Amino acid sequence: MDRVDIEEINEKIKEESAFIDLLTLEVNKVIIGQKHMVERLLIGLLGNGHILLEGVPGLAKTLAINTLSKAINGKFSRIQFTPDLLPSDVIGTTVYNMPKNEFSIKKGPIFGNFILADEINRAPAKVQSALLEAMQERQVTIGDETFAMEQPFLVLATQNPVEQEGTYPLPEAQVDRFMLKTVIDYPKQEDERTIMRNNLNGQYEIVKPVVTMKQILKAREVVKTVYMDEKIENYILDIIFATRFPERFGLENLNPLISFGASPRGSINLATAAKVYAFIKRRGYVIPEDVRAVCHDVLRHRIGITYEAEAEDVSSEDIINQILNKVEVP
Amino acid sequence: MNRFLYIFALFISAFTIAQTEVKISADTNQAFIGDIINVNLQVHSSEQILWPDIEEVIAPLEVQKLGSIDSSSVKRKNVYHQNLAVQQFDTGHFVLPQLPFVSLQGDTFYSDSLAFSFLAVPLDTTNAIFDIKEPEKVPFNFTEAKPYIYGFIALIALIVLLYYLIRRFNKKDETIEEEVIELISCEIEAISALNNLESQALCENGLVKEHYVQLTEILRRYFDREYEIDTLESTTDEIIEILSTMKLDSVLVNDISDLLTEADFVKFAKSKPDKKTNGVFMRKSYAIVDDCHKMKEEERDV
Repeated sequence: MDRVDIEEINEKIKEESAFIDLLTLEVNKVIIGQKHMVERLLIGLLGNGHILLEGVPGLAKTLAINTLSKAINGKFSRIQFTPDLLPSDVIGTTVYNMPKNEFSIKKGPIFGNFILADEINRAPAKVQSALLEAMQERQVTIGDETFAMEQPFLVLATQNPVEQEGTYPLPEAQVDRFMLKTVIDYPKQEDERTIMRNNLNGQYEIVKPVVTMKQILKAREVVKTVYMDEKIENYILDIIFATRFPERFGLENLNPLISFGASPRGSINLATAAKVYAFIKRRGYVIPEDVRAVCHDVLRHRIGITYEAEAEDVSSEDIINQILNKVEVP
Repeated sequence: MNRFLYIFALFISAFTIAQTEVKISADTNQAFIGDIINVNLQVHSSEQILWPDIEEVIAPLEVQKLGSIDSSSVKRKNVYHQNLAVQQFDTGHFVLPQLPFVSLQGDTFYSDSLAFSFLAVPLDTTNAIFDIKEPEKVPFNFTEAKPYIYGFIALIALIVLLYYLIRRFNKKDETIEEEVIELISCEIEAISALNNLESQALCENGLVKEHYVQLTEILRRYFDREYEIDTLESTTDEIIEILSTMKLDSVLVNDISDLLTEADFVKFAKSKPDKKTNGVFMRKSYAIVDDCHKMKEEERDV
């Protein structure tokens, strides 16, 4: 690949990423002050990954995915996870059809393009497992029939970090299946004023479909062509290996704080997310800035911290910061 | 006449009886309980005497020490002599009974009996309870302590040696590097590295990417030392952001930004600038190091 190829990719990206501005504008009509979350939704959408959102109630998590769904004209489903939810409530079941004297399949709410799994940690493990299996395999088996999920298929699961009583925390193996874990914070004061005024005046913007599913699927193909140099690959691997063997990077102090490092799925997702980020920034190649921009969201749920780290109030976030400040940028 | 005969017979018999004489004496007849009373037994006899089993006879008094029976001969008479020490652990009056000594002819001779009083020890209840005897202090013996002292010294020496070796191995590479760096100032090091890079003529040999990798590394290392910022662990945007806050000329910052961005393009996007551009950036690199150092010097002077 030479410079001409990169320019070709750049041209292609210019063409295929034109919808990003339109989509962002449309979503921002309704979602105010959550630029980071909207950007991460796009990364998940274009990177064919799923997103785990963590934030206190009332930060427009549901509204964001609903708006995105409307802007793309996709099928949106919301599943409120509760302790008495059953796997069949999520994926569907077979029901007896009396006139035909046979069992017919009733598909569950998971058969959609944009799925909001609200408060995923409130449902027991078997329900979480059913959802996460569908997320990973991108197919669901009901009875003796297997159904492929419609594309795009984006699951946005939410977790509330403050109420932990009566919850079933997601096991590490299942959390790993989320491409990104995004922590949402409160909007800025200025943004919140706008939100408040819009609500008081009853000014609810109507979201129109501005992008087609076809465009999204095409953009996904272009994302795959974004060039990633070997030096960037090595940088990603250095970061991932620093989570596993911090002592090799002069971070001996992290050894007692990390119980397990990021999995190979972590490096795959970090590379994919960096490529999507470069695409969103209209670049046909990945630079270290792209890796660093998505690093926290890709790795924060993939690094296990020890009791010692908890006792010292050190989070996976702090560990990632230390790693990024130590690993040499190419 | 008969009268004189009776007197003589009595005198003779008295003389004959007086052939065996038993004497007993004690150093005191009053003592506190547990105290020792020394008793002395003496038997003067012309005959051989059977000595009684004293320990059995004197109960309830207790024999604390029983000496051996000594014998000597004085004026054809045997003198038997024994010392014993008795004690008692009850208060009250006790009698050492008459001790029987039997001659070979079957005659029994008795000693006198002795009376002893054993008194209770008066207690001073006004004072606190105290030890009757202090614990005995064992005198320090250097020979016994020697192995422990030598062992302790050896352990300390071993710890110091290990600590020294660990530190030496850990710091070996660092020290060498630091020594070299400390000797050369940052701008001289950067200029020398740029000269070296230019002399390698990597671009002319088609190694453009390698040329820009080395070029950016030289500049980043220079910024790292000159401004004490972690440029090696920072991205281009971050470096420019930090340099922008350092009172540098905006044109200079733009030049640095252009160079690093172009280098990123070469490094990560397979860009291959032409010979002229490479030359321009090479000259800019010298100028950047020179200008940055001059500004830093001026800042120091101010």
